Amino acid sequence: MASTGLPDGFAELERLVDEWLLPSMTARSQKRQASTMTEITNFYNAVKPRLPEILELLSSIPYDDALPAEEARLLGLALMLAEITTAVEWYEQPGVVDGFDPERFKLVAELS
Amino acid sequence: MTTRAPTNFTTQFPELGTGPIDVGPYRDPDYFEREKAAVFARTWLVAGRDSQIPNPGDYFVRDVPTFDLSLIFVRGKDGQIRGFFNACRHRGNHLCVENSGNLRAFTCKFHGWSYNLHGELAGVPDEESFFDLNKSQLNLIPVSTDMWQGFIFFNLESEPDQSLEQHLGEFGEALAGYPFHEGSARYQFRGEIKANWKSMVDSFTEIYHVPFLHKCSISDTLAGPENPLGRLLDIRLYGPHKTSSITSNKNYKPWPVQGIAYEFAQSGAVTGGQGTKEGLPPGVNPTKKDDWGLDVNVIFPTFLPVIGPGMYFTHQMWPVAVDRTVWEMTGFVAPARTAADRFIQEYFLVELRDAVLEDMNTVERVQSSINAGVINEFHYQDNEIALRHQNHVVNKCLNTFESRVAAE
Ligand code: FES
Ligand SMILES: [Fe+2]
Repeated sequence: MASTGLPDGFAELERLVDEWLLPSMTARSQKRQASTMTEITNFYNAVKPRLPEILELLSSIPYDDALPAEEARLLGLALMLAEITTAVEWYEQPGVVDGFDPERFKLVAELS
Repeated sequence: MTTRAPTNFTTQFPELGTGPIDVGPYRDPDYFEREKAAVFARTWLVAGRDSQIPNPGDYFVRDVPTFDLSLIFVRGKDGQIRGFFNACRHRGNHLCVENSGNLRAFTCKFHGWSYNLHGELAGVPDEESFFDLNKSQLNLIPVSTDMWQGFIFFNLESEPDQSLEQHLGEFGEALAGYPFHEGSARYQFRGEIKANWKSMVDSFTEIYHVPFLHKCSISDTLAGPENPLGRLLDIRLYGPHKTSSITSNKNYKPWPVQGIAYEFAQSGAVTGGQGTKEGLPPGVNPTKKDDWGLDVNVIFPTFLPVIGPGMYFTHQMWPVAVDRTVWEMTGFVAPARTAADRFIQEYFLVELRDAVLEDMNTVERVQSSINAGVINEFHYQDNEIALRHQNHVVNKCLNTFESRVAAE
């Protein structure tokens, strides 16, 4: 199994895995800040239309240590969508408009 | 469509006045030292939650930037939570250097003195080389600790003027029973802001700014066309504490991804707030109106539980200098049961983080204007009553404490 594999039906999103699958909220936030609006919008346009199907599938999968690798990757892409949505829908730029520097307001305890 | 009528809160509390507020308390280093002595050194402050240390031997370290102090909170074998100063009685090294963990005993890494979970000195390497060491007098120094609704409070006075129950008073009773314990998964953001601690509290306790500062993001959720000027639904003052109730826009149309998240959100399970408005304690949404959005509570001086239907998080401020404050935003959410729950947690957490990032530049800019002496007073309207009240309570605390000290 390739390390970019996603559950059946989501193969078209596999091309995103290498770049957009990140291990923590801090890493996802930094990726957002370092991306251009074109990159962010392309990712949003690829994943957002599939979100209802993604959540349909993920809502049948218990969130525990036994989370299968393919579902875990799909969740990782969904978490990246969660990170960049406000850039697209609220701000139309990667960062918060006139926002406080996120490097000065750090996550010191993350949800696991 | 009718818009909200003008409010009439402030004049019901004549002691608050209606005039401009002097900015001295926000920039005067002497006033800050008085606040440390009269408020922070002797008021109940929050360390964390019991769910951070569920098992015997679980501990966490609470740093107190205001006094450059470190405290330990630990659950004993008897299930009790105790607080100690994180200082070894030999020469004062910090006993715990990790933020949290599980231990059977505390052992100092400097020279190996050890203490049991109740803080009693248990072992001293090479004890026979000491002179008249009275071990029973060298237990860890306890810090006054008490609990309210699963929140662990401490007080730096060894014999506080008031019990925690007295301090919280009617406020504590009115909010008791809210299901705080359902959120056992925790996240925390932390930063240091170049502003007075009261400005930080102020920025979260008025919504006059919401239609303007938050116009890209949360304005339509909270204010919307029926409340275009960000008027309060209600304010309750409980001695030094308070609850500001904020409206929600009943005709709110969700953002695209938010709408999908709401469809999959389980009631009460996540940060998103699709939970019920029924069955809440009397102090939550005290007017019981159905256009209620959330309550911003202030447990004096600096602990702000923000409570909505099915969600809560807290802000907490730790003053460091008159114009420097450590700010913590901490959330407690139900653990994700499914992988979809985990997405929903993250989505609403990003919304919250981005909305508060919209707030903080204003606070630092206000501080620079008052530090420079350009601005010497604040003008508060009726819906900024919480700010007027906070200023009033701090002044009153200083006067009460200082006249008591003078009389002693
Ligand atoms: S300071 Fe702890 S053993 Fe010496
Ligand atoms: Fe705000």
